[in-house]
Formats: sequence, structure tokens, C-alpha cells
Amino acid sequence: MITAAAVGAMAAAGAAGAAGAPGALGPSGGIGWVAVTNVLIWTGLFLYLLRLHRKVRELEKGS
Amino acid sequence: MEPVKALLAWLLWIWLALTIVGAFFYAPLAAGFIGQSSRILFFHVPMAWTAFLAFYVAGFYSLRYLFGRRSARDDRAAAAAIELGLVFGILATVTGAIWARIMWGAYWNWDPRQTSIVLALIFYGAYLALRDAVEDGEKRARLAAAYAVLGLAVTPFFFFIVPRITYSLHPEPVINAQGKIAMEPRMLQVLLSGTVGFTALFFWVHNLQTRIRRLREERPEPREIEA
Repeated sequence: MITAAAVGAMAAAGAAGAAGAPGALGPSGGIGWVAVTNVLIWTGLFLYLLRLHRKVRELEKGS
Repeated sequence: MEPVKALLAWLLWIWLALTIVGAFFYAPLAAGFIGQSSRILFFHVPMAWTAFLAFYVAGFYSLRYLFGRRSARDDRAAAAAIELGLVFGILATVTGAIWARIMWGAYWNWDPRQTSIVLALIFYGAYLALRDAVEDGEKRARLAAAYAVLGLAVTPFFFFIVPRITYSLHPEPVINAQGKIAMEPRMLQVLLSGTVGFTALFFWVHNLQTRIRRLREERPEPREIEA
């Protein structure tokens, strides 16, 4: 799941591109930033899930 | 987390990170698309696939609930799957709208494919409303399971049949009308990689969500204790 923030990053890039500005998903460059943003968001989501997994396990042991 | 599960989780991180890198730097641009807009495909299609899968997983657990031992675990698993299906479905709709803005000039065009996925989301949104509307736990589980089983018939109609029987501006599906995949091999690799990664992610989060639901049911909210 690439989160809503990643979708937002793509939206901003796409809207700029569609309007004729040099948007990342539009007619020209800057695609690297979109890729980096996506990887960072995925990493954040992944670390959150790892932490959640650990917490759920602790709660299950306690119950 | 056990070592094997931790290893699998980190493998998933690597897998999806490589998929993202592949989507932007390895796969070529598709012909006939404006700018880099075709790259959204590598996220949009796996999200839509995962939403479909989630609704079918919910149908599977609901069937097990109705015809099995009426286990609360099956009911929780079905509800968790539908919640996740809605999340993935909304993300697929939003990424599709971003693509539509670039290609068609507007986020929303009432295209049959856009409309049918929204109808599917409304259908499953009603599932959650149904669950909230029934107080009695067993009755709620039974009604919700019957509704999710109905979804097994409704979901393919919205996801696959409506877009194929109506005229649509939407690009041809990955598996085209002739039942073949006409896609550049590197694009196909990234697309399949994303689909596998998103599917694995779904099953991980689904497992977590089902367990969280169980913990919530077993541990009453603080205000309930006070009352």
C-alpha cells in the first residue's frame, strides 16, 4: 500500500504536468523526486507495520 | 517478531522498494501516453487487483463462517478484508483520477470504469454500515457474511464485466479482449512484481488487522469499564 501521501505526491506531479508546467509525471523531468518520495513513504509505512506487529504480539502475550 | 517472519517482512520491503525503482527507472514509457503518466499503471493496477482480491478473501471467510463452525475468527477476517479492500479500492480510484487528469484533462469523467469501481466501493461501504447497524454480535456476523457472499457475484461484475460491455476511454485491460497480454516485457515484469508485492502486503496487513479486531473485542474500551 503506497499511502495517500504518495498518491498526493503523484497528484501534485501529475497536475503540474497536465497544466503544461514541467511536472514529474507530465511532459518533462523530475521523476527521480517522485521515486525517492515513494520509497521514503513505503519505508515509513513498513517501519510502522513492523512496530505494530511487535505491539500486537506483546498484547496477545499479555492477554 | 520471529526471525523467519522478520526476514520475510524485510524481503517484502526490498521487493516493493525495487518495484518502485523499477517503475520509475527500468520500465520504458508506454506509447500514446502523455509524459510519464504511464508509470502510474505500476501502482494503479496492483491496487485495483488487491482491492478485488480483498473482497474475494472476505467472501471466502464469509462462506466459511456461514457453512462452517460459525467462528468469530472468520467473521473478523472477513470484516478486516473488506476494510482493506476499501482502502486499496480508494487508492486505485485516486491514482486512476490522477492519470485521467493528465490524459483526459479532468479528474472525473464518469467513464464506465471509474463509475463501476465507485459503485463497488459504495457496495462494500454499505457492508461496514450494516455491521455498525446491528447490535447483536451473532446476528451481525450472519447478516454481514451473507452480504459479503453476495459480493462474490457483484464484484466481478463491477471490476471486469461492466468495463468490457460498455464503451470506455480507459486503456485496454492488462489481459485484453482476446485473452492475451500485449505489453512490453520490462513493463510487464514491473507490473507483475508490483502485483505480487501488493498481494503479500495485503496478507500481512490483513493478518494484523484481524488480530487487532480480536484484541479490541476481548479488551473493552476504558469507558465501557467505567460504565
